[in-house]
Amino acid sequence: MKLLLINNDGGGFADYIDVPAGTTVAQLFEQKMGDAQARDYLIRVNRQPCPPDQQLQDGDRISITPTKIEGAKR
Amino acid sequence: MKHPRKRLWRAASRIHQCLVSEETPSLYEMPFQAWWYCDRLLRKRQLAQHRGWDSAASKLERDLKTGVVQLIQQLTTLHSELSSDASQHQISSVKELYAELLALEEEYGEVNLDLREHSISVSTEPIELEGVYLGPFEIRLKYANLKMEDGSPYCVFARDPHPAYTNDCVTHPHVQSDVVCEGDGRLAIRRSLEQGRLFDFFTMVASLLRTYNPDSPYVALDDWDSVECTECADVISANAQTRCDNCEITLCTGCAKDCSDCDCPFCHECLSYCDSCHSNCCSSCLRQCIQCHADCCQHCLLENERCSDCDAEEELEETEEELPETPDTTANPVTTTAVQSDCLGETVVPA
Repeated sequence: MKLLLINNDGGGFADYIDVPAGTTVAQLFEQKMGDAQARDYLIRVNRQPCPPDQQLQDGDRISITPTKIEGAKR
Repeated sequence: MKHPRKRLWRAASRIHQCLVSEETPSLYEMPFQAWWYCDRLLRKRQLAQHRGWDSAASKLERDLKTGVVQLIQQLTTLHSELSSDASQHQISSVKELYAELLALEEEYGEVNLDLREHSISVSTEPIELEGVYLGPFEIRLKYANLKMEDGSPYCVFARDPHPAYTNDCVTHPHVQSDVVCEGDGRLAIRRSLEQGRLFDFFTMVASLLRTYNPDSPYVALDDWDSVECTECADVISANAQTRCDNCEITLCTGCAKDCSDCDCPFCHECLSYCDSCHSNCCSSCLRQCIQCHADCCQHCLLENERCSDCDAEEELEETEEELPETPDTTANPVTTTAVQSDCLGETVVPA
């Protein structure tokens, strides 16, 4: 199934990705974010809060936004 | 207060119009700014090494490492976007923008829409970083300038300002004059604005406000309630500061010198010295000796308005004037006996 993944960590690019049916939010996070801790991110599915074991559906829009973004003077 | 759905839809429609009218053929941009920043740091580091400024060279090296990481990150993002089949024309539809506004209402409780001013704003909860209360912030987006062609399209206003003691314009370590310095979030924030992802935009700015980067603040939180000594530029806490009693500049305890007479603190420029005892003394407490015109502190100026030296001199002179002329006491007492001539005191009496 095809999902729209918006990764706001770093560049904030959006991409359509293919994932196996039945993939959960936690599995997708681990797959895409590696060792990052889920508690450091705001994860939304179709702009709604979601539990880690929520199964993703075809056409879902997932956004991953860091809750800690460091500002700078420059 | 939640807005009527119709009003939200109208706002979504207007934002979409702005996004579409501002659409440019390409969203891609080479990270020249980051490149030149690294290039400058590299040259500075080489110069510092050449001149043997080891401390400066190592600091520049640290900055360079951070700069290179950012450059790599921006290039990686560009590469990812070029490789992505969804990177082009990802501007949110009216329906999506409407959903974004609904999500914002759910997340922040209240969304302020000003269709005349083309602005949309939300407020954060009161923010406290490392024990420093900064208060709530309003993030206001002017959606007519989402491409950032006329500067930043959004501002961050402190609703209960607790600015840094040294700079009223700095209401947050990363906010100066209502403009937030995005640091790591720059690209992601820009991308979210270009694509009309309002929820992501406000969430990221709020995350930025809730995070403190001690490496690059306008004013460090450690120094939030601190002031700078005008004389030595040392940073001191506000409650440890002293002010010059004359010119009122801020001083640290090391630079403030007390007048020996009135005990008030003074800066180096405003403090004088007693010519007699050389102690610190302010110009208000110094008095001139009426005889030698030397500046004296109260301890050195006597009641007769003379300094102790002049007073001693005067006393000596007076003593000398009062004493009768005395013979030399060291002379031989025998030889000092007056030898009177024969017939002294006698006179001729006519017969």
